Amino acid sequence: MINAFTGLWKTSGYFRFGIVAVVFAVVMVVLSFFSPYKPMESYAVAADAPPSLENWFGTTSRGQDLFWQMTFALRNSLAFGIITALLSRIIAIFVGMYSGYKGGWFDKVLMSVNDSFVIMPVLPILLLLNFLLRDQMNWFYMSLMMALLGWAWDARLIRSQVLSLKERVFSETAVFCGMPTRKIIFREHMPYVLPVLFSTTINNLLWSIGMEVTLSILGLTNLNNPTIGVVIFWANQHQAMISGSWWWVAAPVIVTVFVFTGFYLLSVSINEFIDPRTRLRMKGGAA
Amino acid sequence: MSDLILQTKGLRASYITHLYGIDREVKVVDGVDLSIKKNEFFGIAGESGCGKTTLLKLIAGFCKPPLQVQAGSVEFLGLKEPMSLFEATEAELYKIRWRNISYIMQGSMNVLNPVRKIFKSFEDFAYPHMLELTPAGFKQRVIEHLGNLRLSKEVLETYPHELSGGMRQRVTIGLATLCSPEIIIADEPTTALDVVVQRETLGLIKRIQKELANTIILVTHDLAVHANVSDRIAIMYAGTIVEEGKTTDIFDRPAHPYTQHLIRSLPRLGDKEKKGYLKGAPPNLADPPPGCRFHPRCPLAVDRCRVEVPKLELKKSGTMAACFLAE
Amino acid sequence: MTFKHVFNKNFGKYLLGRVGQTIMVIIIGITITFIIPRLAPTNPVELKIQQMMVSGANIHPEAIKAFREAMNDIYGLKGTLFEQYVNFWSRLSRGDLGPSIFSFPRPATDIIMKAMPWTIGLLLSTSVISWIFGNLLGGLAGYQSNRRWTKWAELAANSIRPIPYYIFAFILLILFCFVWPLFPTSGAYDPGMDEHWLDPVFLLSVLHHTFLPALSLVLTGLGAWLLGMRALVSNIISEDYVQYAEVAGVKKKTILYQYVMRNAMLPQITGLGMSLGGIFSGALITEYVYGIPGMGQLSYRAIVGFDYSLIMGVSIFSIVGVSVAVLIVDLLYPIFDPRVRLN
Repeated sequence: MINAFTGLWKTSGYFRFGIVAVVFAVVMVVLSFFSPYKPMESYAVAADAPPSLENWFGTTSRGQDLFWQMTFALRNSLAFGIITALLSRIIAIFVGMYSGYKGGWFDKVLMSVNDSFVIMPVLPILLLLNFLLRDQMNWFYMSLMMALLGWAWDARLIRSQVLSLKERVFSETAVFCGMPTRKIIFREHMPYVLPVLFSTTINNLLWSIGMEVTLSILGLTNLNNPTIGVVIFWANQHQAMISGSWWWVAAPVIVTVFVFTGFYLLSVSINEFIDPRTRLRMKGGAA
Repeated sequence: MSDLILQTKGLRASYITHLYGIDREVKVVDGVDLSIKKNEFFGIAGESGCGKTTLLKLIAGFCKPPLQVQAGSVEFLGLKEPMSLFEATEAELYKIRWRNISYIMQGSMNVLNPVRKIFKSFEDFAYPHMLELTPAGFKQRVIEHLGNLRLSKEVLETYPHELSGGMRQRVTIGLATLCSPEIIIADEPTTALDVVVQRETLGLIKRIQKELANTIILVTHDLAVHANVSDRIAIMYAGTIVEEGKTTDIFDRPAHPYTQHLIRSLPRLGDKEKKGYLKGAPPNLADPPPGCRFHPRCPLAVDRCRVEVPKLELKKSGTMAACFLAE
Repeated sequence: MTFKHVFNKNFGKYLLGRVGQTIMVIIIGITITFIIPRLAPTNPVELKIQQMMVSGANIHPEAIKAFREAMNDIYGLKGTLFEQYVNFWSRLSRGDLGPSIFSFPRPATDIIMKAMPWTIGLLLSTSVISWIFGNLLGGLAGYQSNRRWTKWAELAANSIRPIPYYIFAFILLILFCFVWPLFPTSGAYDPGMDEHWLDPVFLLSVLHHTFLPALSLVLTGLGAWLLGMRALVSNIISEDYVQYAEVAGVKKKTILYQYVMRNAMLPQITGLGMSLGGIFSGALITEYVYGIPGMGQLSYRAIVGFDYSLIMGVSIFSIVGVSVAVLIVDLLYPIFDPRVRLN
């Protein structure tokens, strides 16, 4: 394990960047618990002050220290994303693997439903939902909704991985040897499924936070709870760009880009590392 | 004018990979000297993983990373001047590819482009080397050629998945022979075929060799096939040639312990005794044993075998063998 | 290759399956759109009435009662759930979505139809461009994976890909409208112009205004296709038929296009169908950022104005539109893959 870590660290720039981003995110989240200000406290400091030694990211037009705001924002956005990703993982794994292994008409029916969810444009439905339920909407419900809408793509990926594994000769051999299905799934197939699982988790995480940002900016979520999207919403409401408080917009955008790109590159590098096919390909053999 | 068409001298090649801080070198071809004559059916036999396919690719002048040629040369002697394949330019190699040296690949299932019609494949592979023909003339030539292989001209307009395995194999053979090359390299052309089609294919290849009077280099692990078609055989083990000679000599008087074992293991009519087996497995080519590569499994190994690498030498039995203990 | 050659009996089965799937998606999607508001504790009519009262208008209770009746009728909220459902579908089939609350009494359908061409134009042009170029670049990058430019292209694609549509559109906006004011910040054409599509001045203005949103969508899309194609290509390179062609000395250009790309492209076509839903959402967001008068901006106005029929309408149009587009893409697939044609 440690070997893998050091090996990846030395050879993959993506991995290094990703680890830095993760460390940054973790630090910010931890710091948020030690913040001298409450999340929605306004006018605690001078308003509209540019970044300085006192206020690292500057302050907002409502007198909030932007740095500490961002720690809350990052924490809340990440929490939301993680919950959504976990919930949709459960659905995706269940549907994908079950459908892949069972096959037959069960698979056909499930995949038809799955494809319906894939094709359906999610944003209009989310808009409709949030529009109507905005008073009742809390973060958990929104997380649940996103999970219910966002599992389909990943379920299909997992299923296709399962299908290609089932057909491989080593799977047939395992079945003929009398290996119980459970063992086949966990011992033989898991190493191939893990990369897919891992990358879909991160992608789903990023997607759901992206949706949250979009919905917040449109003003459809609970605007009293700072998340990345909510910070940008308030910045837009107060016309931050035009009034010159560029840092109010820059901070969430830069933090978002940094964290998102970092997480994604991390998943790409780990994926490549775990994937058995990369090593085979590198040796010049066929997968 | 020598009667050789291809010669390899001291050919050494490895797969070299650097991955996540681990460097690895797999010595897949480790010192191979071959002299292949014109108008001959030359067979190369050996277990899976002994380096046969890599050797074939090198003979065809095909070397892509992570495969690297470490030493030695491959010379094609069919042109006015001998051409060293690994020193030639891309353009020179392009001229002889397919026209002078062609290739029948292992596994006819997937060797044709699934989205191209058969005739297009012919155009891609052969037409650039037959530019003296007009497009119509080329098409005519292909139709005739396929006719010789008992394939109707409708085949040209089909896609690979529409043909049976045997038909695809014949198409591949047709592709390889269209330009009447001096060397045809066939990599396990009969593996993955049922016995009936196997016999047909072998018969076809033999007939082609007689008609074109060229050289066929056939690689297969199946010694029975070699017995059927090859004039001379080279036995390969762990990246080196351990024995080489006329087919009859190899079968009647094998000199190298490994060959002896291979021949003994062939089933014969009326055989009633139990067959023995060699313990152990072929060596890991990333970390081959010192000295003779066969010594860990050789029942006759002595101390010298563990230290020195035996050279391929003519033995009294008539074959060339790489063994200290054979005469 | 005749029409008969491609579209034969097995294709007929495939067609039926795909059309059936599309119909199912539409039914499921529209039913969801139907159910959600009715399960919500808030009633859009009540919402509107509340909003009207909050805005300070002094309305007679009788008038409110009459308004509520009329609204419930117009919005199909009368009767049992089943009756409403049937009514809903019958109106839909006539293209009747009810009037827009915001721009009462203008029918929501009209407003949406006016906005739709902008969205379609943006969507069509950017998806086609990003798909074609993304695949081309990805194919080249995958085939010549040792060149230096491929590493940089990959890095660029990997950096853009995870960024949410909104943020990327926003960044471009800030860079090219504020920092270097090269482009206008909103609208699809200069204000004060009328839509004269044959007028080159108008067209130029449209191009000027839509360049950034198009660029934003193209760049995000390009990255995704590039990476996908590259991965596909690096798998295809080890396929037997590619190796065979290389050993045989087939021209590199032929191998790249006819052997590698034409085969790698096939999953990408399916992928295009699958991602149209997501790209559509992205287009909506980008329209909002840049003030293009398409469905995206329409959605925003509808949300702010509590315009229930408009939001419903946008959802329904989106679902139908995307489903049909996916169907078209899927039907084009057999043209590219001969294996699907016969069996």
